[in-house]
Amino acid sequence: MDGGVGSFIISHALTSIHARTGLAPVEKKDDDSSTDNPATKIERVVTPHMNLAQRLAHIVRSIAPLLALGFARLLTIRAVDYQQHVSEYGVHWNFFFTLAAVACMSGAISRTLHPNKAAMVGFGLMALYQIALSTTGLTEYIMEAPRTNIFAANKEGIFSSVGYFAVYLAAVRIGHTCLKPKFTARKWGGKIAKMMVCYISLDV
Amino acid sequence: MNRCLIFATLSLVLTLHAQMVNGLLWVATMACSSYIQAPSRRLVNASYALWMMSLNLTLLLHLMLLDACIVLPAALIHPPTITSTPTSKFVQVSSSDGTSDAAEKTKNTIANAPSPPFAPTSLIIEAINKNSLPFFMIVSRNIITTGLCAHVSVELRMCI
Repeated sequence: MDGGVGSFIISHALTSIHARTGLAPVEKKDDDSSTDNPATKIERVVTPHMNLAQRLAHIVRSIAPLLALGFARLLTIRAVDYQQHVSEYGVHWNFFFTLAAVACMSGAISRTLHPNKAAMVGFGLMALYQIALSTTGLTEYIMEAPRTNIFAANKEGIFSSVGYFAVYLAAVRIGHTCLKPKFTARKWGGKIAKMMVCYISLDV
Repeated sequence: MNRCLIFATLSLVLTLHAQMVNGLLWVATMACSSYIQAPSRRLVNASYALWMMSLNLTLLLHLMLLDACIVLPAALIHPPTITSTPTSKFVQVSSSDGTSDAAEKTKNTIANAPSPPFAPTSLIIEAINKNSLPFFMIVSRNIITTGLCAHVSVELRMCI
């Protein structure tokens, strides 16, 4: 499960919107060179412009299914009296809430952070979090503190979301490189001429 | 076999930057887990995060290696039309005037036949994509049979 959880976050980041576009919004562009035939007009809509209220609504819409799944799992586990490991994420937390937290933080930051810089921000966040864990006694708090209020009951889940977000940002950088249109469509075409020599010369 | 080795080395060369990053990540993982804090999934500390990144980047690079060995030969034989403008491959030569010279005749040969508009993938991957649900059912048959046995035992009031 150690590998599965981290790999799930990474695969989510590899194919996310942040990895594909993630930049400041670009206005809709119409190709005006062929205006006589409306069928050949090319519209390049990259990312629509959003003000703060629209972006908040977009974030809420994107994490709503994850929150619903998280609460559904919580309710069904309590109803069926399934065994729960509270040392995993906490009393009420589950992985869906972690995914929702990561998606929320990603939605908040994806329009202002270029994917190429996301790796450095991810590593910086990871370093800061590790410094907080090692030096300020956060590790002892997460491992051993009694679960008195609702924040302390889910402390593992809340603090682990920060670490998972750091992993997410680093994976966004990898996903951006892999999902660039030049990489997927024309990379093979560009190198074909050079490799054709090798292919033909070694045709045994 | 020889061709496969050539494509493998070519993929290693093309992904050189990523390979160096992968090496650095593994070194950082080992150093962090031995000097700073052991990896912990509860805390998601730096050791765990670096471990996850190293593992997945290694897996991705292995898959790119396989991609180069399987997909590149197919791409060389039938280059996809995404690399060229869409109209250039589908030009129909009109020979109504009767004066068709050699340059126009070569346009309709097999070598210039229209290529598929999608990037080439291996046959196995395409087969799995087309039959994704049956593939999942067969691969995870232990989950399905345990579910079926539990359901059947409840229905028949048996103890299994």
